[in-house]
Amino acid sequence: MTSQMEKLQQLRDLMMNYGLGLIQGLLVIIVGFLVLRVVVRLLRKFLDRVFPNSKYAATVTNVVGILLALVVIVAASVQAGLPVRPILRLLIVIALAAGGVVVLLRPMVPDLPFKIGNTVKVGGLLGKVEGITFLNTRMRTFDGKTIFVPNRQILDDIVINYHYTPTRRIKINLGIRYDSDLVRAKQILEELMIQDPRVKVTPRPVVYVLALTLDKVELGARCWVPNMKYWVTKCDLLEKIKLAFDREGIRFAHAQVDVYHRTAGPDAGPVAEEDEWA
Amino acid sequence: MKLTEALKTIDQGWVRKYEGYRVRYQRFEDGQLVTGHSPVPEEPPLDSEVSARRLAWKLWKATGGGGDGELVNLVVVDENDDPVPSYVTGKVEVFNRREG
Repeated sequence: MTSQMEKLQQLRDLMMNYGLGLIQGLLVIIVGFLVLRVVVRLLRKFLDRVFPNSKYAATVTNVVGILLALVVIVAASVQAGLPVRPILRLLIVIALAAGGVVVLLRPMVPDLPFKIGNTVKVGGLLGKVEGITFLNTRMRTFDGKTIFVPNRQILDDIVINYHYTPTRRIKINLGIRYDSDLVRAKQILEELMIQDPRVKVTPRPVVYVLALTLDKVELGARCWVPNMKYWVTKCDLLEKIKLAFDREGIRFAHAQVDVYHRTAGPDAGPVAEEDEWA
Repeated sequence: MKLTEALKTIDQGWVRKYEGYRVRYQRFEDGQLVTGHSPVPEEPPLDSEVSARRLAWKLWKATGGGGDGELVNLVVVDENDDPVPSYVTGKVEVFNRREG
């Protein structure tokens, strides 16, 4: 009973001596971290606006956040009446240990094959990389969706990074009918590609006859364009090809079926034929 | 003729590669037709003929009501200010044609 009374007495003394300081320190911590959060968020927005797609924006924000957190902790310690020097020493030891761990383990951590701002295709998803964290990668698809892909999945998957090569090949395959002018069709395709300002001079645009199938002559047009203009150029070329073929009387092939009507017995030959080409 | 020379000759003499497109238009100012371009010559030209032709068509539709700001004789031109034959018809297309 006496021992418990002594403990309560000690607690009361402790609270009388340090209670106010501890509460003030706690308040400093709470308010400080709330302010820190706002400051970091504003800084991130500012950096994103001034340096869009910069890979250093996140690093700078994190460093500033850590420094501000240290300031808050030290301020709270002072407010609580705790000795500042040992706390600073402890923080320095923690910082050095963390730095050492990062330096030691960095070579063992696999690199993701892209950086912020790159346009990549991962796991069937095409989009622009907006942020990379230790666990996942934030991507924005071209239809406006934000997708978080786990880095583990990225490392296990095939990644296409469109950033490394400045140009990309447009591939257009189409089929024309056997009675269309094949040579003229090839000329039109080549002319349309050469005329376009976005199509590279080298490698030269080329047109091939890819296959002679049952219902069509399959042509393949290939040309190189800047990565950023790939999609629009391809759409423009398709539109121009369609209209140019219409103008020149070159007809696209469609899947066709020949239908025979038999009106007599099983030995009779075809008496009527419907041919879609007719 | 070496093959490289032959290719160079073909590049220079066969199909012309456009450097870009602009829409040339005219408008009446004090009874006179004044010529302008979009994009203006100080800006880079459009690199898509499809976009340039759509721009010309939309400008015509937006201003072709006969009002003060009516744009006439809209035509897609190349970097030398020469009209570009349309990929639709194969001929030079002039939207809202008007004599001066």
